[in-house]
Amino acid sequence: MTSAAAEPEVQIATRPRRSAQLAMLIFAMVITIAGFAQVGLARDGTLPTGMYGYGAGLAVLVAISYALIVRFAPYADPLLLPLAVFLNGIGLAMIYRLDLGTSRDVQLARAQGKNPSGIWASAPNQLMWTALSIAAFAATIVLLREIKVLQRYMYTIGAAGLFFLALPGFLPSSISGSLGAKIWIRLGPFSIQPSEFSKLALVAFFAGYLVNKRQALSIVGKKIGPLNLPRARDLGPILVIWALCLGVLALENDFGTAILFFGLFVSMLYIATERFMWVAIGGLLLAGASALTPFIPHVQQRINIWLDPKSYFDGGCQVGNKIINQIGTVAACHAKGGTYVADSGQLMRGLFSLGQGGVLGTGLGQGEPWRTPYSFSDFIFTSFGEELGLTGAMVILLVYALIVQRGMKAALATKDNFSKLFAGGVSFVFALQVFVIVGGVTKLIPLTGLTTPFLAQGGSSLLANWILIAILIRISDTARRPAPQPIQDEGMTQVVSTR
Amino acid sequence: MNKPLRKVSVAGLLLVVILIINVNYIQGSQADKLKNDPLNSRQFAQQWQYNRGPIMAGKVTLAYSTKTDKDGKNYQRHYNQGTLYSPITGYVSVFSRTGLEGAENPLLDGTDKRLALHNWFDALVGKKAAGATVQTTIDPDAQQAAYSGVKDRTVRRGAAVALDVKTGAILAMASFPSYDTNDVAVHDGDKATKAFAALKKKPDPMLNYATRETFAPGSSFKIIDSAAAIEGGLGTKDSGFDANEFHLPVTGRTLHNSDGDEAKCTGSPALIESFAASCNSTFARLAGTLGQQRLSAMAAKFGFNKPTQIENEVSSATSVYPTKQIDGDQLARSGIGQEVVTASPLQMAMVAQAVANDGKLMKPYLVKRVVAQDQSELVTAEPKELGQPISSDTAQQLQEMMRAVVDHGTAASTVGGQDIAGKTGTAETGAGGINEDWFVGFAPKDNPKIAFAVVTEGPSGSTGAKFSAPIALRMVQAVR
Repeated sequence: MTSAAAEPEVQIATRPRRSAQLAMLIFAMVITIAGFAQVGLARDGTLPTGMYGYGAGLAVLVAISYALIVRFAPYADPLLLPLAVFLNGIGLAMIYRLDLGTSRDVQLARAQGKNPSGIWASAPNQLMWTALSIAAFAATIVLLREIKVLQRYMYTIGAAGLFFLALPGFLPSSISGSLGAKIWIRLGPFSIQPSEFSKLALVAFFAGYLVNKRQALSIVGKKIGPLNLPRARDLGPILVIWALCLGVLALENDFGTAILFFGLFVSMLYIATERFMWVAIGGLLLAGASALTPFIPHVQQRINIWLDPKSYFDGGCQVGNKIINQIGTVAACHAKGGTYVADSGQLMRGLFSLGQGGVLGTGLGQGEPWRTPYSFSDFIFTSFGEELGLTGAMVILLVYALIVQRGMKAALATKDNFSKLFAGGVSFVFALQVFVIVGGVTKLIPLTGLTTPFLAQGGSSLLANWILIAILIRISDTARRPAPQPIQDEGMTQVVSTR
Repeated sequence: MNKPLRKVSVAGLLLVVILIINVNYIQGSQADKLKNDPLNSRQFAQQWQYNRGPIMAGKVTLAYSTKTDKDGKNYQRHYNQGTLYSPITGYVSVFSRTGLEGAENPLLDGTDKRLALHNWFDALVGKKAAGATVQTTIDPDAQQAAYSGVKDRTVRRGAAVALDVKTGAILAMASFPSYDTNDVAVHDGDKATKAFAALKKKPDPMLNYATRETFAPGSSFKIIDSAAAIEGGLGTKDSGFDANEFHLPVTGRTLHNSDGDEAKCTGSPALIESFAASCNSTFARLAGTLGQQRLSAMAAKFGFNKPTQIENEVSSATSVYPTKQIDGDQLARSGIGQEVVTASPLQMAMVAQAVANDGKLMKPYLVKRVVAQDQSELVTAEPKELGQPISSDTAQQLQEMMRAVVDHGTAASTVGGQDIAGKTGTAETGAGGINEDWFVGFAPKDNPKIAFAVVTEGPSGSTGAKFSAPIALRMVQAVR
């Protein structure tokens, strides 16, 4: 166990860097508003009326958060807020663009006497959630002065996180189910994806727990070859988390969330104990769990689709040993005497969307990303890939990388162990989430429904991610704040200014 | 904790780097493949936005596009005599593309890289390149003669193919039943679905019977038997071959010759006479002498047992001479083109083409040239030799034999005295008393320019000579 004092000092700039932050914010806003303008120009040849409303709305929210940061967290990392604003802004522009398309389709369907159902892209809703999220962001900045206070309530927070994570699994599918996974709580017009908040709560809990137990967990029991093994009794926590994640998998059919939480715990365990053995053990447990996937039909389907998407395009129907694709409906498959297996239509259409975009993209508003189901939420990345091309997709991925790295930097800079673990944990889980969803829609790994942070339509995700950014900003402010200056003219009594 | 933190931070970065590499792979190198994926319906929905170039046959326009709205955002595809030319043009629909519309799509819609080069400035300002003109090898008169002939004669299905003897260019390719390609080339998805549903009947009007279906070739297969016999050194066209009554080796049943030919098919007449009279006894026996190996090898040299590529993405169905062990009866019947042997009309036309071309088999093709709007020639067909299944000498003997068929053989009663040569074929299918009636040959008889195969399905008692030979004659006369 290395003591914190023996580690090299992390170089931190203690200047507030307000003007840099402001300049970057304006830049992010200009891109967003230009996005809206391009949608309008491409579709109707005029600047869209929505541009002024959405642009002004977003600008006010951003101005308020900037003012609050200047007042309450002046030393905060100057990049985090502009990066979040950029992603949220272009996400809003894309949803606005898809909304224009779908509302036209919906109107047409209504005019033809059909009753369109399903979830549509809705820019007004997304703007409302953006406002709420930035309000939550502001509240977090103002109210949560010291992140350490969360450590006191870690068990409460952990229990709440677990409760909300598990809740949809026990609710009837009519309330919690969607596209095979049960990860929602739907109340009237509102739907919440509680796992988004559970994620933050569990990071807080893990951080608190590991700060207390890190000494014990880093003790090496046996050594086998190059691998250090922990003591058997210390295996408890990781096995509990592993079992919980498997429970999530079985109850909610959601292996994305399961991988996310397991990866989160293992990475935090590694950071806290500095023992690579935990990563190795995590890998073994993961391999063990993957052996179980054939027994979970929903997960097995996703894997089959990933391996051979063409066979399942627009409905795969298994007749004997053969899989016939493009069967259309379950009924059509039953009519052939087969079993309906799975549908890769969404994944394939997402890939076609990316292919259409090519290197430079079709231009915002000029492609047809709406051809992919859920092009505004789970598949918003492919929508960007189509209209902004490889170029735009890489920019988005690099912005994600920057957020992760700024979060990690805050973790490195802070001296408080709890904050360090928290910042490191949320940053890594953020990267993991981006990897699972973007990797899923680009057929790098089997597809699983996680939200694309800041871009995808959906209140829970937006809210949770803005709170995450607020916490990172708070941690970075604490870390970068100059050490208290002694006031020399007070004689023998040294008064320390805390501000 | 900073040491592992740094490692985790690198791991986080690595995850994003992997994503970036993957996105580069998909959007950078796989984009074209994804765009042209047959499952990708985008290409079909967007195709109305392209001003597709015309498809021509000589001076006749087979397919062309017109603007459907004033600002020129959408185009409608029209087909001139769609029913007649459907096997050639194919169609564009919201679901699929077939025929030349599919094969030459990038050139027709202007997305081909060779066209982009011609107007790079337009590409820069987002203008679409105008589609190129596809000039086919089809002779409109021959096509018309072939189609109406087949349509008048057949009771079920039929097809006719004419090839240029020297180049292999397809001069006519008619298929019946057919459909109007205009019916399916509609913008509205619901209408297109209905149009396709209306075409789902038997026999399938959307199938190209000239290339995508195989029939029993019947006695027209005797050309291949004779080729194998002469090439194999069993004799020449003038050598005598046993034509007496033949009994199938396994079941011992008698293999009958067609009525009225018994007198000619006795003793040991010259091969040319057995051929002219189409003696089943001679050729069933000959098949047994040659054996499955030599017959299948000869058939394969003519193009059997593998699909024949006509253009990119346009190829024929595989004509089959079995390579798996068959019994003696099957072998005997294969000699008269029955039971185990099947051939597409295109395949039999290729056999006639090789014979007429002194043994050289040419690759059949449909596109003569592709011309961009600025008149620059993008594609010029170059005739390609597929091989030489038979020697020039053998070919000339076979030509002589095919002339004899018309002169005093099975076809004399219907096309005798005409400037044409060929081999008749009548295969009993057993299904509903329908016969496959063939006439496979070339014209003019002494200086072959056109090779052909015509198949019609006639009622019981119909023959290739009666039903198909006159169609072939009209078709080749239309070319001249």
